[in-house]
Amino acid sequence: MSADRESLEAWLREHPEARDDLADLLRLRELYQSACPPEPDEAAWNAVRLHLGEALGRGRSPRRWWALAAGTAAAALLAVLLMRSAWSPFRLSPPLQGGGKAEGETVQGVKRPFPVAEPEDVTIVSMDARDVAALVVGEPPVGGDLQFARPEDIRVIRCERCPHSGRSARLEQGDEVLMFVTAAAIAPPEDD
Amino acid sequence: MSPRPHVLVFMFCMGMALVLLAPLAAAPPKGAKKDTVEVAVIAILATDRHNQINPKLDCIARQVRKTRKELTGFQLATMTSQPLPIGVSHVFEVVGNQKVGVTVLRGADEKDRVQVKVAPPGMGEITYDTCCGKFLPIVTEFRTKDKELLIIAVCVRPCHEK
Repeated sequence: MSADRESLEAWLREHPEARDDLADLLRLRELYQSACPPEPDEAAWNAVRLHLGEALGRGRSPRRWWALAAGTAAAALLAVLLMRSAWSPFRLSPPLQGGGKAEGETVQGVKRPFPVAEPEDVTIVSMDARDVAALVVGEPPVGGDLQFARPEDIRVIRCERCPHSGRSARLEQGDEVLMFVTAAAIAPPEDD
Repeated sequence: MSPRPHVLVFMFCMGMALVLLAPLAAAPPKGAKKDTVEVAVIAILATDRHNQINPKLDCIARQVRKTRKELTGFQLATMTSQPLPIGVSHVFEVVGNQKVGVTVLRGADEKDRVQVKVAPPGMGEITYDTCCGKFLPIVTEFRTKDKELLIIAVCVRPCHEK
């Protein structure tokens, strides 16, 4: 700022005829600042408000409002569908902690342990019953006490004969347990 | 200054959308679970070569020994459990390459009963109506190379949530 001032004064020293013009400029500025411009009257403001209202009314037609409402409803529906897909039972398991780093990787200087499956991560579909004691993680496909059907629990609808062995099942009612056993084979009729 | 009619229409549409869609968002879909039934098949081997009886099989052992007194040992051999779609046949492999075919013909009704068709090894198909969570034993004629008798038991678990 001071450099500008110095250069201006140097220029005025070289061009003394311009000093009068500068004095006129300063007086003109004082005149501007001594008086305020007149405020618009109330009628002028009302006219402007009226024009603005008409312009807004033309820009937001009822059709545009309906389109906006339909778009918003469609967005809400899309959000609901996305939330439902997030709840799907077939969703993949959550990513590994630490931004999905590989097992044993170092994160921020700390060696992460190898991730180990937890019981809820494993579903055992089939296994040898003798290996149940060796299970480290997961539950056997059939656990707890076995409850067997009683006579009132079963209603037999149909027993067919095996096309190969000729044997069919026969229901045997015991005191405690109901069970099917193999009925005697019935020889197929011989062709003459 | 009262709201313009268009603003009211927009707010009404938003409110209706939220009211109609909120129940859908609040409840996760359950359709996939309704169409399947959990079926468990266990294989039991009965033998005259030892007298060890798995405590879980006590009642079966007593019943079987009424007609086959020579069988003194009863042990669980294999256990399998998996969800089956209704109307679709599935083959469960048990011991000695023997296979048990199971089809859930009808899902759980209001009394929690299911209709099942089972094809045990060497026997004809059995169609029956059963309650939930109990095993139905089927004594087959199949014997392993060690002369153990194969008994299978089938259970369905479509129990309604209570």
